[in-house]
Amino acid sequence: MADRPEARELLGVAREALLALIGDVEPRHHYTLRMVANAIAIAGRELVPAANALPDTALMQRVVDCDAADTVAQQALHRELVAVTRARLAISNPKFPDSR
Amino acid sequence: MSAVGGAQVGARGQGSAAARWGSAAFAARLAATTGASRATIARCEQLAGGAIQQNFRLDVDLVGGPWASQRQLVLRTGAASKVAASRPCNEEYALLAAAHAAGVATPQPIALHPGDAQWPAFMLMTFVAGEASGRRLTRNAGDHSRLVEAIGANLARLQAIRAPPPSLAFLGAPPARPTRTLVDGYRASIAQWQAKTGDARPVLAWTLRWLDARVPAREACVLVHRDYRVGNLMIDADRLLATLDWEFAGWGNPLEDLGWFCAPCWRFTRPDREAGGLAAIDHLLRGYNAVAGTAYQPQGLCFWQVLAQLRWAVIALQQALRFLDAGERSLELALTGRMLPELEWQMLALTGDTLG
Repeated sequence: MADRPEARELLGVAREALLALIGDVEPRHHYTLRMVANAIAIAGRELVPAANALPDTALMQRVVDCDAADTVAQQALHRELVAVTRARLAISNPKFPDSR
Repeated sequence: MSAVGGAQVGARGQGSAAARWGSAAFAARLAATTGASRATIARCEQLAGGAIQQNFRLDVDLVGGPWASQRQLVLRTGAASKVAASRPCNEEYALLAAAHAAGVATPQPIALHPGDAQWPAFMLMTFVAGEASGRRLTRNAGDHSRLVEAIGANLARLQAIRAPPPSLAFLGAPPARPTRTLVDGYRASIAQWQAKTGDARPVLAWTLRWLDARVPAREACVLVHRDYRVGNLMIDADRLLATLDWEFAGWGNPLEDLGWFCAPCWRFTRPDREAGGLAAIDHLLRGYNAVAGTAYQPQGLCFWQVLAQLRWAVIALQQALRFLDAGERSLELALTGRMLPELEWQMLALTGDTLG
């Protein structure tokens, strides 16, 4: 499962935010802003939906089923959750794990 | 939450909002609200932050009435963006007034307008000049241990309001198990997210399980601020001047506020300084314990830091859902949803330390 809002949704709202500014920007910059908005729209259309999909449903079930008294299993599950979260951060904020 | 700064998409109206609150028409309302015979507004400027509430600085000249003089005030009113748990203006004003009366560092409450057909509800308080930006405050590398002690002592004074005045009757009776109520509420919010988006969050499920096993069976219940952190404290030259943003206050375990202050998500540029990015936890607890008469230790805060992380994650999900499900086209709401992996990373770090 991709983090929501996913890439195309973010690009869509970012494009809207950009276009909302046009009225406040000098007319000589309008053409450039519209080109940027157009580029965002094209990039959004080219994105494969759920490109950062991760198999979270199965992992969710393992969290629910994991024996709280089994320390070894808990540690293994924790390592897996760390790996999944690191993969998500690689998309949303790659520098975050090393900055903490 | 004011930490989630930014503007609504397409909301070009900050200038016009300031113009409205600075207008001659509003000056008449201001005079009536403050008991003045006449009010003149020399300046009206929207203050930074305030994703949930809007704050405006008003430089006014009040003639007659209890507040007659030239004054710098803050007008606080609702913004377009809302969080489900935020209190209405009249309740926030009553909480501010109670805290002020109890000796908590706050702006002085001036007046409340309950709202009518012409003007929405707003509250007025004194303007306090200082720094409230968590990013800027934590970037200062100096020794903030005395400041953090004062922050702890200030929190203890707030939490000492055990028998609230009648003005706080809207709080209802203190619950027997406030933390269990919170955790169950977060679980329901996460389930709602998954039901609406299909997005399973195994780290949140892990964290809920971790908290479930540790929720206190018996606990004290006091008045908590519920957003007590750097960013909601006005500070000048390492002096605590005022506690801001009372819209989430209510009954809770006293450690909830301490955990929120020390949560990794509120350390801004200094994750190594556990107490709000400013100093070590020991300094916060030294100030708190001295006033409250408690003996809390840093290791006792882990549960409350994890709870704080989960709470922030739930708020982020709720904001994202407004974008995804309720059709609010806000870049701020959309990006708040994408903070989840960062919050989850910090939850895993905290809970991982307890696995042995």
